[in-house]
Amino acid sequence: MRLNHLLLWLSAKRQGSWSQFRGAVDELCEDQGNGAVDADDEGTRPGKTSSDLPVYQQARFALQRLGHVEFFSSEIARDWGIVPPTLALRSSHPSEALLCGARSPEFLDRLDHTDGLEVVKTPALGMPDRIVVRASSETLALSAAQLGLMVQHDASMAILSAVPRVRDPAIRCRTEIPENPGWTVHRFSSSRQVWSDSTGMDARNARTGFFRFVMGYQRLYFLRWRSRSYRVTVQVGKYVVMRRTRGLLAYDRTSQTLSVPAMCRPPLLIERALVLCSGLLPSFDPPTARLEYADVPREEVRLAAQLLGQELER
Amino acid sequence: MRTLFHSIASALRSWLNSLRGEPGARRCQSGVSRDQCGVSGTAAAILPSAYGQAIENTAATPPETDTPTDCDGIEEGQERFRSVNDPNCQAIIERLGQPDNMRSQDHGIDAVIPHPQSETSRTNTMTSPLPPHSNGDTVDDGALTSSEKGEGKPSGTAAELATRGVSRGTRSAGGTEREPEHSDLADPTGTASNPLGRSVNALDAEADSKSVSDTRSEIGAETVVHYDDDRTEDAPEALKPFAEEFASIDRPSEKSESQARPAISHEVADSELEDSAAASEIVDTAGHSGNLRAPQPILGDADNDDVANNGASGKGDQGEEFAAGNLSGAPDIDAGVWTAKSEPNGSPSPPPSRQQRERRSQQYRAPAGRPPLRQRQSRSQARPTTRSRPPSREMPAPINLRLIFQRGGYCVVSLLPRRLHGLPDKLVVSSDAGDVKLGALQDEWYQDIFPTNLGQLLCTGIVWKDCDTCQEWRLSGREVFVLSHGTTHMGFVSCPRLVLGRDHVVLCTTEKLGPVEDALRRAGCVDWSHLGEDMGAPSGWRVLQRVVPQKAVPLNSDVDILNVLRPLPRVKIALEGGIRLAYNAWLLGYPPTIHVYGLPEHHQSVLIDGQKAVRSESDGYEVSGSGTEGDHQVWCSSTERSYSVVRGETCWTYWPAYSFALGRPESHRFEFCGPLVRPVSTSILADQRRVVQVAPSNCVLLGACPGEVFIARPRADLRGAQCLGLPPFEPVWALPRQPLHCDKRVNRILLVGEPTARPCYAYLESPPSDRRNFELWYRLILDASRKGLSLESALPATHNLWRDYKRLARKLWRNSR
Repeated sequence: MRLNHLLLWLSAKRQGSWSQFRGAVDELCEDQGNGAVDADDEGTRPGKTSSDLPVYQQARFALQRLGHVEFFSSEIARDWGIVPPTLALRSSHPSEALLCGARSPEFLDRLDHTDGLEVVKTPALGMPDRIVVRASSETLALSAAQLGLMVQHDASMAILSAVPRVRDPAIRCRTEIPENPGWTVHRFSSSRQVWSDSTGMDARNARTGFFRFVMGYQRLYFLRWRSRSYRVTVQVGKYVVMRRTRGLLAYDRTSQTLSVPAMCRPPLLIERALVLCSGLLPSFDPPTARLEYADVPREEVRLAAQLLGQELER
Repeated sequence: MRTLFHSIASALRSWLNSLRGEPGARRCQSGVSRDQCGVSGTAAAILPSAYGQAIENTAATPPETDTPTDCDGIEEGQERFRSVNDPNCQAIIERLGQPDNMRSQDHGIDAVIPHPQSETSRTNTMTSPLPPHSNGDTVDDGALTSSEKGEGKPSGTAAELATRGVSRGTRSAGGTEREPEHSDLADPTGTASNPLGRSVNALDAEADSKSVSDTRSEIGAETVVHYDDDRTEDAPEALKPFAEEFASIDRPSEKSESQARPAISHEVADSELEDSAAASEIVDTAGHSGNLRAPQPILGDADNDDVANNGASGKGDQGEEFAAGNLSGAPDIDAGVWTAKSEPNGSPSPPPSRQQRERRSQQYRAPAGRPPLRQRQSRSQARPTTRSRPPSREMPAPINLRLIFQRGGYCVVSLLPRRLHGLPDKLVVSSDAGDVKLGALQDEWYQDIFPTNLGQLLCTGIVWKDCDTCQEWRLSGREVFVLSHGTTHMGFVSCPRLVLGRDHVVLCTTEKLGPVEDALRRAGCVDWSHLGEDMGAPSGWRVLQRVVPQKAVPLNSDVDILNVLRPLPRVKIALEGGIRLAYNAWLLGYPPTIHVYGLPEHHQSVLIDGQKAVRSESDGYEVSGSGTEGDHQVWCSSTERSYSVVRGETCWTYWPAYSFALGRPESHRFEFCGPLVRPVSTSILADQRRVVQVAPSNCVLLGACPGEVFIARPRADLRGAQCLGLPPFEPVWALPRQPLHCDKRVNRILLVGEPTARPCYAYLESPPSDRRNFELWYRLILDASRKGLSLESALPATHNLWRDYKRLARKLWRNSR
């Protein structure tokens, strides 16, 4: 996928509709189907349809996780909006910053020719080039002001510090489970981490559980919590019902790699914080079917584990 | 005999002169003013019943006031029409055995031939080269023809015309009185005795393609061809047979005038351009079958690719519908053999004899042309005004085919329905097989549909209908589909025919595989490969990939679906790649790659902005400055494309994408946008403040002025989380909340502000009103000092700064005692 071109297009447009985005992906991202199969095929947009990750969904999630573009925000009228160009400083490397958000050819040219900055562009699969800016913290701050960049210090830690926990009731939305026939119902098994067949009656009568209602291309997710029904995103719902599960989060101190089962991808903002530690999307390890996040400091892992309500296995 | 010729010729000449003298008055004689004739504005589109849709569309546009320009254009057209220098006129004269000296007497008529430079302006109001049925009388004829065919009632179009009053003028033009004459002209049986009647019937048969009619209405809004009938009616009795023949033969010659279409914007989407051009291609073949050219005014010639490519604005839908949806309908058009067309430079070419025309029709001559006079045209001038016209719901939308290759060479074939302007992003359309859900893919397309019985549907055709909007989608069934790469979509999407040098995919039924491969061999294709059902082809179909034609092949004059596999030797300019922001606008730094398809020997040098272009490394053409900001024009052998290079948006501002509240206090509500995190504040000055992010051990922020104290509250539910604060001042120091009770081995004094932020001595004499924070400010500093907390930074400047603050705090403490 030529996501560099797509990001330039998105930056030039600034915001737009979902159909415009899909059209741009269709035009600019030529090769489809060469990405890794994503076991977590559910989107993060509650109540919306999703499928087996077509190319535009891959592009959307990649851009969203990297903090370049925001989709389906209630704060804007359009379906997507570009993030202003931002230097995300890394806690593990104070003299390094990731370039996130909008970029234009002229802007990149100016960045390349700014004195005192070392700009390293690294191509990576399934994402736009990772652009790392290296300089002293003073030079970074000065250059950011000259270039009109926003700066987020310790970006990963900042996000993790401000994100609510998955069990925070504030992020749930009370709703009713549909009673009309025609839905195919699945229940998420927290022990086996798979979807199993269920019924609408089971969902309505369950005290606790996470259910998926499928009709055609439509998928709805309902959390039953203390005999009440809530609409939550699929990632949040899974972690709510999984409680503390040993081995779900695994952290290798030496390589600073955090791994989670591909079926249990963290919610968007938590995952964004983990991705911003390295500036790279998680890699998929086929033998273990786990996603691996690189260069995640221990403090960030601890926070992520707390937010997800999980124990950290080392 | 010679005397007879002289008498006939002189009578003909005098009749022509009389016509030329007062055409308007002649119309008035028949009881119709110019307005009534429909000369004013677009209401003049008096079309045969097959074009009722076009009439409706045209009538929907606001009528213009009586413009002398329109009339002038019509009159000019009439003058040209009557020019004895016209090839068809000369053909008649040749039939009559006209002596040479007779031609020499026609200088006066030659003089009325307009200068080619005025073609463009004239064609805006130029009469469409419609057959005589296109005038008001034709409406009656159409009804008459329908009734003669046993349909029992006038065509709906005629009724529409009557209700709209469009036909009022035509009837008053004496149509009723002349019906017997026109019934002679319009052969309802479509016999070839009257080539005009035959061609009209061919168009009638094609009437399902409403795109044709609609385009026709745009191109030839002024379809007043009354002079034909007037001329026929007013001709001397002895000359009437000749005059009728003259009229019937001469009308098709208007096609050469119609080639100079209205100056069209370049703002049309590529697909539309391709399809409109393709439509012109297909019908282009009709006029070159060796017979008299059928009047296809809406469909251009290969010579006029520049015009077609520039695209009649607003006809893209129709063109696409024609190309994609009704390609199988192409056999309805009298398929012929491509030939060279009239000279593109607009100069009147010597009239070829019938034998010459037949001989010419068997060989291709590279189209000649001139580069555009204006190198650059401002976008505002070129922008069409008709694009915003809402499409008619009675016009079926096309369904394209799309094929995407996946890993392992597996292919997926889907239906790609067009989304017309104004249609919702989600629809449920009905079909024979049940409801089909459509969701928007782009602004102009719905997302792919994957029918289970796609193989059968491709043979039988598809019709979907939305009951709410009465919008239909159609894909006519056929045995061969051509899909091309390099369109605005990923993968391969339906296209009208093979294009030389371009990569294609061909879908054909298994039964048709042999003839298809033969046709591909003739087109110079090599190394194509098959994909069967096991690789994703629809049931009963084969997918032929890597089809790159290298040779132009004459079209089969018979009705043959394989004509789509016979590439025309036309030159095609394609703008591919780059980053396209709008229809014809590319992002600065990422301009399109300019490709010219077609046999190299068939096209002249490529000009970009008037400069001779050279091939670039990407196999495209380029010149110095072709990627700079502004409008650009590409020209090659009468084909022209334009594009713009523009700057994108560069004003990006912060906006909150997500917002979460972590607790009751407002300071615990945070906003997120990408990597940015900001505490929510109700202060209008919040945007100008700096977000401070500190460890929970140093959650107290101090400013430079005494009394500037802010406590960033740590999260109670999260151990180790940092404290984000938005203090109403510029913080300098971050201290522990209780310096005297903290662990000095762990806690430090943090400098979070600038090292140059000297303390403010303003309150040294008189303390501020907020004494609580004032006292807290110097107490915290003194407590941290008493505790012996060390500074995190070892820089001397930081130590000096801290010493200054300690000194001020001590003074304030002493003053307060």
